[in-house]
Amino acid sequence: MTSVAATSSTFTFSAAAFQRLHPAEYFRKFVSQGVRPDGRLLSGFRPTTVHKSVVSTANGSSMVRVGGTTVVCGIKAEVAEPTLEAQDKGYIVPNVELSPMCSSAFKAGPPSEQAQVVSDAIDRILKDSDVVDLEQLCIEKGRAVWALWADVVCISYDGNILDAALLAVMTALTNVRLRKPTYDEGVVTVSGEALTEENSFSLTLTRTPLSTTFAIFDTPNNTLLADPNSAEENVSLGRITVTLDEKNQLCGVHKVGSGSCSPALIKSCIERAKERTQELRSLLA
Amino acid sequence: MARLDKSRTSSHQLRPFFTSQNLLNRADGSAQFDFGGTSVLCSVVGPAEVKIRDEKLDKATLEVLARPLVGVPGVKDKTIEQNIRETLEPLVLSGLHPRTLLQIVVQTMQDDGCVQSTAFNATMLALIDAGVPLNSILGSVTCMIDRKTNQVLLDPTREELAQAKSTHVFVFDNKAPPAQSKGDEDDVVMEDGDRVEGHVLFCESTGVFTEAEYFECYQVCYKGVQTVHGFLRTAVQKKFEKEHQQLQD
Amino acid sequence: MLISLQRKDRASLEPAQGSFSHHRQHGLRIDGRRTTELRKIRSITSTLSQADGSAYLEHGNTKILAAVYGPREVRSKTNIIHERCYINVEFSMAPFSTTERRRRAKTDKRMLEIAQFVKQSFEPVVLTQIYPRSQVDIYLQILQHDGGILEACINATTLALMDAGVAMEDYVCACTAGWIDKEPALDLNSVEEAQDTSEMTVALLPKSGKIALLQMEARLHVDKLEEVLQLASDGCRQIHTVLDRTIRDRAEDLAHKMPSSS
Repeated sequence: MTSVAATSSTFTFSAAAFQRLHPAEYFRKFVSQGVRPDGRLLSGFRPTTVHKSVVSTANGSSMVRVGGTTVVCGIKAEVAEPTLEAQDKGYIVPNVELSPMCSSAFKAGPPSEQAQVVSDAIDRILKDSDVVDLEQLCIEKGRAVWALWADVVCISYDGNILDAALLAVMTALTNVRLRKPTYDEGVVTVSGEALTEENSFSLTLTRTPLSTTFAIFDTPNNTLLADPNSAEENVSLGRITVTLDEKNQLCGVHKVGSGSCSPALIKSCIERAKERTQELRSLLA
Repeated sequence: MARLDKSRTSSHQLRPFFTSQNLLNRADGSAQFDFGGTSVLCSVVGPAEVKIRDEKLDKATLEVLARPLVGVPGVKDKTIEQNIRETLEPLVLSGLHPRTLLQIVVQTMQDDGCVQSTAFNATMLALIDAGVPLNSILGSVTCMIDRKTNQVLLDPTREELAQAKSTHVFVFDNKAPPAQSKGDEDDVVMEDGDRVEGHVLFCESTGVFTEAEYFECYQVCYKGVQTVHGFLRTAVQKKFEKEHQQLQD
Repeated sequence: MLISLQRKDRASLEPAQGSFSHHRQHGLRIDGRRTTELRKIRSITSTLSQADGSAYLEHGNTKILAAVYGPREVRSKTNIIHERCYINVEFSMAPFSTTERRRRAKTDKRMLEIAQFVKQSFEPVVLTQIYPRSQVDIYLQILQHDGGILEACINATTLALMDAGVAMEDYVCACTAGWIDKEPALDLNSVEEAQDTSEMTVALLPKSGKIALLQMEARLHVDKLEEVLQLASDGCRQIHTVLDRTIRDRAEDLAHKMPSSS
């Protein structure tokens, strides 16, 4: 008993225990020194790799790794009926899957709120920023069009899923090959022959928006953590996502969560996003 | 400069507001907010019992449910739910009601553009009506940039939104912006030399736009929100005056 | 009227079966293999940062990822088993993994069945009694489908479980064999599977030679059973050497990375 009393005055515990008990305080100790637990500076991004054409059963595919986050995107094309509103336009449907495989934070069952919100965010960027001229996907006006199903499967989740998923969708869209179909009296024929330059075509993208996310770590200082991982997402109070195309035009600014941001802060995010998306574009090329 | 909806004369003019609080008997607080032809009804229940799975030991759990005009809630509504929840979480003094549930239901009644902004304002009034402690009041407006004229239109209708190159939803609170303590933060100055004002709580901009256009929208919306804040204050004041009178009788 | 047109559209989308000559030329199969030859197998472990154990396996053109979480606390109280651990297997196929896109419900009977087969094959092999009142989650994700789903699932699970350090009696190695054109053939791909061939999946414990799983759904003459089973078992042993190599390479790699304590 006496030994317990003696040690309790100088009670200490390991860094791992500290991280589990007071995650926010643990991070604050690092952030106050200008570094993050994984060794990055506050403005540092995680190493990012892009692989193209990884799934041969898909018309276009990609695998993107952003640090510990890995996503695979496969685009499948199907002949479908056009919608009533747009008789000469095809459609692209993005869908993000966050299964219990990629992190113990996700449960089996219907798509989680996060998965739905990320799918919707990508859908909006594709539609509102006119990424693909959908008339390219028309086979016969009012009769048949291409429907592209862009499915993103998250294999390993370590934060910042939107940036990774959007990069994967854009990469997969650039390497989509569609067979040239023939339309004859209500019958669409797509040949089963091997793909060649003559019997297939790729999509022309009007622009390729890529996003950059920052987590707001504290208020009112508004310390920003670039490209937050999953542990950082859990302790942060909000986030700012800036989406830019290759001409540095904005395709989206999204700020959510606590802490009111000054225009200067948003401007600095835009500036840093410009540098980051330039780097990402070199991976896409 | 005439606008498509004919009732307005200026591009920076808001549609008429309308609000009505305490409409629903069974909810702890409720409010309707209209921007012209757009109407959203919001109800607040809480502090109520929370499911053990969602229980937070040091604060109240916020749950936002968005209901669309027609049909069942879809992916779009999930985005609105998340946006409202994450914006309100820091605003509500949830530490005062730990281990409880605060449920907010947002029902679109009429849609003529700017539903998300209307929903933000309706939620704010419903929270006040329910007597939920808050640290500030937020107000929201939407603006867009016209594809042909490149003009910033405040509070667009559905008809106008069909012509939009980009749309911008902004939320500002009514707190005075923190004093510029750090000298290293440069002000953002627009082309006409004006400094961009206001600290943004929530913003969602989509479409294609330049940085200058973004900050122009920022400025227009910040000015627009001041009117909304004034209106919210009057609405709350009127309601309390009425309640006070009823108590006197 | 448009609906009927759509059906036609769909029918013509099916690949023309005639273009794939199913008959073997010079004794070789359509992908150029001999009858007793396996497809190329490539595997790596520890591919995922979040899971406790993981493996990526390419079996010919079939690509699969396996992730193992646990042994960890049981998620739902109803699954607690007091004397051993509960094994949970979830199987899913990426929507882009098959030739025709199909959204499969989580309750797809075929998929539940595969998960059940994997669970049943591993329950006797994993030393479940040393992890009482715990749960081991096995997640399987098909990224590309070219036949032999079940064998790939079992082989990938073996690697992922070993990577997670879950105690096991032995490897579980699975392989398929079937009867094509009056001859037994090892390791069928999806084109061969589609031709209504009788296909058998065998999972073997290579050390003891015991069979962990034997599954067959099509007709096969009883006289041929022995021969096909023998072929599949040989396949399992070949796969064992491949899996063993992967595990040993990984262990050596880890040993190198350890700070030398001696």
